[in-house]
Amino acid sequence: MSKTISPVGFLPRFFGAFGQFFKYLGSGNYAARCQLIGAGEKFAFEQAPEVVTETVEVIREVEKPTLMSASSDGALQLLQLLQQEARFIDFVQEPIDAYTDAEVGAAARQIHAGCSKVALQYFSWDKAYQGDEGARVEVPAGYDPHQIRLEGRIQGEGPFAGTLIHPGWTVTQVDLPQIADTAALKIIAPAQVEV
Amino acid sequence: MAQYFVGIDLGTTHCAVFYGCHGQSELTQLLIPQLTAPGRVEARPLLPSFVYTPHASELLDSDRILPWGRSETNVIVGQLARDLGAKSQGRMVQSAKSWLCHSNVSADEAILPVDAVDDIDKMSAKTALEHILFHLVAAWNHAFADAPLTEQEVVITVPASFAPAARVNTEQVAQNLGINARLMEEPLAAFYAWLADTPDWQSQLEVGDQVLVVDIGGGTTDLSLIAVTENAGELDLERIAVGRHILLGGDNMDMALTYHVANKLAQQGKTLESWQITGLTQACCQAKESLLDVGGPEEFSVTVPSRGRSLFNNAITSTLNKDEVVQLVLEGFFPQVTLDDQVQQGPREGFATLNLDYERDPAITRHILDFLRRSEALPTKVLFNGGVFNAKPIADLLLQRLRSLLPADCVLDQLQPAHLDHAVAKGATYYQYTKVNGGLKVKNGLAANYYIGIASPMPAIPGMAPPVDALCIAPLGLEEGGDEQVLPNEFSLIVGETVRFRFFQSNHAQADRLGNLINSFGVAALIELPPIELTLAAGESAPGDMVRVYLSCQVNDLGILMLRAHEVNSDRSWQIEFTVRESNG
Repeated sequence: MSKTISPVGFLPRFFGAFGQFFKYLGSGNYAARCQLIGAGEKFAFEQAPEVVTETVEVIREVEKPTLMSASSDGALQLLQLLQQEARFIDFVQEPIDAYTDAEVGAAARQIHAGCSKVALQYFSWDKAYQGDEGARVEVPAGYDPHQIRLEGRIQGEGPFAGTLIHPGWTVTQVDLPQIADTAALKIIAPAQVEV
Repeated sequence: MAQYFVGIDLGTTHCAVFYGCHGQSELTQLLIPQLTAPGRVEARPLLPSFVYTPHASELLDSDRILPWGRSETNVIVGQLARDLGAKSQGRMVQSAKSWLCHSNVSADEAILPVDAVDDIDKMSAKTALEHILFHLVAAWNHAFADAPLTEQEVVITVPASFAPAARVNTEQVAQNLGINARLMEEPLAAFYAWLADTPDWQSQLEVGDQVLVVDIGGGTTDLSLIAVTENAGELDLERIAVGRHILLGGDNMDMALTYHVANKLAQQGKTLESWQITGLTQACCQAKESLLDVGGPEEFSVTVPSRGRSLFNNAITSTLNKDEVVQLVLEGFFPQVTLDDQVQQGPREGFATLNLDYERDPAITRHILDFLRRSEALPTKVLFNGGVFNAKPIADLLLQRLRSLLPADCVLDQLQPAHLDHAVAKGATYYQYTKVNGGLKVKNGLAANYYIGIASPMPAIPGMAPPVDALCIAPLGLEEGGDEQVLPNEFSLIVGETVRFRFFQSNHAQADRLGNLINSFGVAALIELPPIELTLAAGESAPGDMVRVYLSCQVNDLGILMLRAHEVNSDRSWQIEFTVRESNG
């Protein structure tokens, strides 16, 4: 604080009082301000600065909304892991119409084992909404539409009563491996040459 | 001043590390960063104990960066080593630990991998183990930059059946990396983990109980027996017997299924290439777990996809059903045995390639029976450890088989382990924790009586070597950190020469008296170990002089048997070294 209030000595106070008498008498505006001071109001500089703790609820829309691309590195890494553990790319790149259900089924077991290994090893999972499938639930007004999606006849302000069709999935933790070189990620699987 | 106590399970197939902080009772597992693909690092709870020497062109420098920088050595340790080694031959070292107690190969002899390609340097078992331990040390130092592992209290676990020489070798590996590690037996560590996880253990054990610990790892089976006694109103625990080194484990079960499926395929005219065996083993392991699962399917299809892009062309498919798995794994490895069954030795080929001395008899129940008979034990509790027991039917069956071996009025209860894969590292940490903070200690002395061979005096008989008597130089139960024990016998030895003694170990659980002589007829019942060696440096005596010495034994604070020779009438003494048997011996 640059300005402070320091007490005035008796003599300057004695002579000053006469001047103040006329100033008070002559200006209605000044008199009104003196009355406020008399009632205990403080100057702005005397007040301790107040920290604003209120969060701003709504982020203002930037003038021109832009779309972002998710980083492709993570996607490529996931494809690498799925190919390595589950031969995932081999599977989706191969037409399967010519094979019997038994053949596809046998391969699917392996692909399933590999995919679930990747999904469980590198990600921690939880439901997006805590509740059992088929249970009656009440969605409050002002719910997060990313977390819950309403279907059917949606009307009114909420809360919305309904049936939980699918509790959703949410990733609580990502533990993807560290890598030395992101440029090499485009090679999902190296060529294999037996020598 | 050490801040942490650290337990390291330096396993035959996997390593794990646990640690605790001084002043806290919580024990935590260290995640071990390792390469899982070229240029990719993941922190995992287990480090596969595999060492791979890549070809110069195989990996770029940037592919081998670990969180603590690029390794200065040319080898890779962990998951990537295992994956690369499964696909290319002659570059990977595995089961290095089991080579430490090989009877014909020195732990310092550079012979691994046995099928090495021409352009790599072979390494010794100790070097391989040092690479693995170095990785664990680096992982620790990376996670605790201000508390390097060399300054912490470290416990390394070894098989209970490890001979003195193998213990010394393990200790030397740790010391080469600046670590003063205490050695601890693995089944005992598994038991400590049970104590750590069972706050009311005192209500589960009673005086007179004998706890059998069965630890089936990937490649080895380790047995120990712990007795519950009473001391001044408190329960007291003592490890009273350990089994021999059995190279038989969970991997054998997967191999049994693999060869069974390979046979079935061969009958259909499909022969497998070696790379398909690896894939098939993995598929069989999966099938085994699924089929043995409670409520699992009756049949499981085992598929080895082709290596090409198509998953279907040239894919090899067979099926395994529950009966086959029960027959091969349960009946094959855990058959019903009767009390007079012996471990089957089976004939050995005259010429065998240099390799580990794998077990001939796959029946784990017979090995356990053999152990119980040697140690004259009647267990009342059993504790299982090792990933094999994740399959509940295996644990149930083994429990049932063990019960059938005991007299009808004996009760055998199973102690419930909290986890089967990490118990050894956790128990080792808890052991050090109780050592620092007080708490119970399971007494574990020397696991066997040790003897040296001495030619017995007798008149010369043509065509007959003088028979050898055995002199007890370290008795069973000798406690670690105890006083040096002195033998009453004296020997006259020539200075400046290396003297070799034949070295034996007893195979029963009765303590012998120090200095006791077993005559040549009893020696046959002992197990012969690689010889021990004593070199008397000449010092002030002239070479060729005779000196009179007496021997002493002691188990030092780190759990290692030390044998020394002392000169009578002076304070000179010499260390006796453990060696290996000559290959033709």
